[in-house]
Amino acid sequence: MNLKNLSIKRKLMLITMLTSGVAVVLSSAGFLIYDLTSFRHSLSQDLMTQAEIIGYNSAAAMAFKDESAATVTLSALQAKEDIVSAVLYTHDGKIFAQYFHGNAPRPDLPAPPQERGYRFKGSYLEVFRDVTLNGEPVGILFLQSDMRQWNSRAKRYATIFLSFVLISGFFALLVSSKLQKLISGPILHLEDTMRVVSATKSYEVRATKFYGDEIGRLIDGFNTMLSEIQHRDTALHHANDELKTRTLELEGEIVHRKQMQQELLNAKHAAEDANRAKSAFLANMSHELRTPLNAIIGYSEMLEEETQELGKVENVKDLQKIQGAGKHLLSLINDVLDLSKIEAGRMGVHLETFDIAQMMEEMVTTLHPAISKNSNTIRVHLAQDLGTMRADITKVRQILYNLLSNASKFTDHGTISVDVDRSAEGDQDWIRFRIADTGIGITPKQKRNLFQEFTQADVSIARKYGGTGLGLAISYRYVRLMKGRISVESEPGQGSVFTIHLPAKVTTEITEAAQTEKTSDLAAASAEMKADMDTILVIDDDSAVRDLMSRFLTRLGFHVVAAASGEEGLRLAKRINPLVVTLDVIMPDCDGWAVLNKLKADPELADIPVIMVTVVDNESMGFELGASHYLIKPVDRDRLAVLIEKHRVARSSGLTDTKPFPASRGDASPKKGSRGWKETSTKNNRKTTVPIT
Amino acid sequence: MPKILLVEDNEMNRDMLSRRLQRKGYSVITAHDGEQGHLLAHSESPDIILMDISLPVMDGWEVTRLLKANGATRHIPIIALTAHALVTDRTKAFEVGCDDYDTKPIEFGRLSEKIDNLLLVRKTS
Amino acid sequence: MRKVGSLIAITCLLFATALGSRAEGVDSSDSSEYLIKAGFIYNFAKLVEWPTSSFAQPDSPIVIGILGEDPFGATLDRIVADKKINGRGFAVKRLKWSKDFKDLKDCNILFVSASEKEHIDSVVDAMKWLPILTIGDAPGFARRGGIMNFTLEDNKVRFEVNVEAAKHADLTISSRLLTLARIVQQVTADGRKSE
Repeated sequence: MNLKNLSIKRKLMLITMLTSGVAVVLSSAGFLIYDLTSFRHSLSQDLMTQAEIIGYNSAAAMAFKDESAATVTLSALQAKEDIVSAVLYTHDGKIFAQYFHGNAPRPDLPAPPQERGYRFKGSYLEVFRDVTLNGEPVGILFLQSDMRQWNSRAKRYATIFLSFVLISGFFALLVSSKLQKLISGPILHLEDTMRVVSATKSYEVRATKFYGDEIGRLIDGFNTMLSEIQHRDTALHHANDELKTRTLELEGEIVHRKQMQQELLNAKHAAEDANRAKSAFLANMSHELRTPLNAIIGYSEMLEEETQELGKVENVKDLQKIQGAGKHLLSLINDVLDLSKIEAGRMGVHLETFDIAQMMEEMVTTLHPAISKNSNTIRVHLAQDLGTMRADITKVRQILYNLLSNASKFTDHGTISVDVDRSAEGDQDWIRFRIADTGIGITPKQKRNLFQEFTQADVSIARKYGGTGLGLAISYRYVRLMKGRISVESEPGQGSVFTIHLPAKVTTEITEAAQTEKTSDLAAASAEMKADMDTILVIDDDSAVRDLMSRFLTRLGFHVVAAASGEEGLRLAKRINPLVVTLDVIMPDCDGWAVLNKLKADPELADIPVIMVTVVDNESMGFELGASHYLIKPVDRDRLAVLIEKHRVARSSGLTDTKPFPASRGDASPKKGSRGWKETSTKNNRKTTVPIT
Repeated sequence: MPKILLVEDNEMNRDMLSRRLQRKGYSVITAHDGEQGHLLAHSESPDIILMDISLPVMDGWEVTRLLKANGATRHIPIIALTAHALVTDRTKAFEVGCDDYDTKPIEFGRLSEKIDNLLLVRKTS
Repeated sequence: MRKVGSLIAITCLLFATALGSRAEGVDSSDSSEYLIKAGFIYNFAKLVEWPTSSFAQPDSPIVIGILGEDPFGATLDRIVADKKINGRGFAVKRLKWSKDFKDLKDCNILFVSASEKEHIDSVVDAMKWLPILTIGDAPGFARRGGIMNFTLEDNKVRFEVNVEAAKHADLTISSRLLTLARIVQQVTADGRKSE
């Protein structure tokens, strides 16, 4: 039986009874022991007294040797039940007189002399005493008592004790079983309450407080806890409900998003198809256009040589003209195709590491004839620590060729200086190419439109200096493609300084290896959509429209910046260089058309696609002015999303370049007329507005 | 008079180039596809081969590989003529064994310089 | 050893007593009888109270007079030699009738020897009102007015006491002694009991 696990009631009762039991037993036992001990003592004293009396009474008989008298005296002991035997001994130990009680078995008599006094021998109390007559010993008295009084007393006591213990035990049981309720009652009630609560899971139940003791406080605490739980339970239910609602909302959202994703994926595929078609077109066009032109140039060259030999000078001149025109046409075609490619986002950047100084030297050598044609001198300064750079060498060559040939074209009897150095900006190294000339310079008006295509300064310049007018536009775009910077300083008549900064290690989003188109799955598409937080600039005076647009576009995963006016829009566009601009036409301060114009006029912003969003239906004007798309309000959101995504895809993907690259490095021969080397320059910076498709 | 084998499928280019080469003083044999080019390389033993890359039947890379693998034709220098000028094309040209390459449209002066260089090298080796 | 010795002594004593037990005319050379009697006399002294006038001083000795022939020899002297009762010692005198009459009166105890049987009445008369414990050696002494006398019964020394006489003598005899004695009354010459 495991005492520890008894019920409280039993424990309390057990404790009470044990306590009282122990108390009773101890006190009784103490009393008993004391009493019995002192009784024994008094018995012995009694016997001693008895002996004294007997002794006194029998002294004379002993002195006078009257045995019978002595015996008579002893026989008086008959009255004392407990005295078993009495003996009078003479001096020398002989029995003088004796007495035995009743039929008691005669015990062994001790042979005197023994020590005087009393002793307990076996179950008997024995006394030895001198019998004296007037102080003179006349004999020895021996008394023996069987302690029956003590025994009976002890027995009596034992009985009383037992019954007392039993009775008190019984009463203790009664009392404790009543009183334990004081303790166990509230506890059991608490236990019951707890059971009820956990069974029914209802937290309004409360336990009743019985008394103001510790258990009462326990119950208070329990009740407090229950109300706490109740509150939390309620709150939990509310939260759960809210959660359910929210989950439903989110699920709805997810479904919607998935739809959107699917649509976007479709749009993407469509766009990719379109791109592929475009690439194929460009590739074909490139090839188709060049092939007959090559024939023209080639045959005219050949005829020129043959005619030269035949000495027909007139024919030679004509043939040269044909050749010249053909070459010019070829370079125009090349430039146009390049630009188209850039515009279509199909221009890839192919990186390789090359020695900068070596490239510069080759370039200068190539351009030597062009430079000396106008009696210019060239001064080249290359820094010591140029080392190598990793970039698209072809494009770099193209850019430098363009700038240098421009410099030599627009300078007469002047100096062209080329400085190339390397510096660190932040954690990157940059290569700076500085091409300065002492030529005719550039007017502010010309400067504004310098990097636009087909805007040579004026018709006369174009006629005078030749060139396609596309060189700078292409150079500018190449620089931007390689994430560099290009700037110009010039005053009319003071010459010009073109500075290009290119990173020493050009990086692009598309690696060289990724020249083949990747087909991405839905997951990738949505990942791209979300990861690449392109910015969209929304220009609209209506705040509601701005709000709606930005929310919608944000949901698609774009970062949205909103402008309330055209001015603000232009300012923001310059700063953030958004992926796409949505532009409202009807605006108070400056209307959308003006903004569109400004956007397209700014070289930095020109190639950001603009989506006109307006109530006015004037599509053609929109496209004329250079808008990429024209949407009528109310805007078909999905269409807008698809358009934006198309632009995003277009911007980020590259294409296998089909245009032929210049020959391998180490080729020191002049590169006239071959693809990739611009003999042209921006001769005529004439401003024209041409629709860009 | 050095013999040049010109493998080019475009008629005009072939005509232009061969005539110009002849005028320069070379003897020119032409082939209009890779297979023919391969045959003629064996049968004619030219001093130098100008190999257009985009050829029908068998493309220029393949022909070059075959010729460079064969002991009889290995020694003949080959200049690849390609419309592309990607780095990959350049490296591929040298990988398959071309001795040089040039890009189209052909700038005759440049090409003839290359031809002369190779012929010179061959003569001295 | 001691026990054996005691046992022998007791046996001898008993033998002696048995041998020496006769109703009258006890041989004075029978020492055991008179040893016992001497002892008895000593013990009598313990159980008798004399009036205060009997003794001059608190430590005046108890005088034992032997009237007539001395049957004790040195025995009585020996027994009472260094004993004291209530701080009193003993003195033993041997006396002759009429000559030491005055001396008789100084005794506290007077042992009347058997040799004085002719003088018994005189003695009794003389002693009657005196606080002297008269002890006769032969039976009848107490009947004739003496206070005590020895008897021999079953070879045991016994004694008789005349309570009246004791009363006359202003002597208090302890009840303890009386219970052991045979009480006798004076009988006159003509056989009447005195009151």
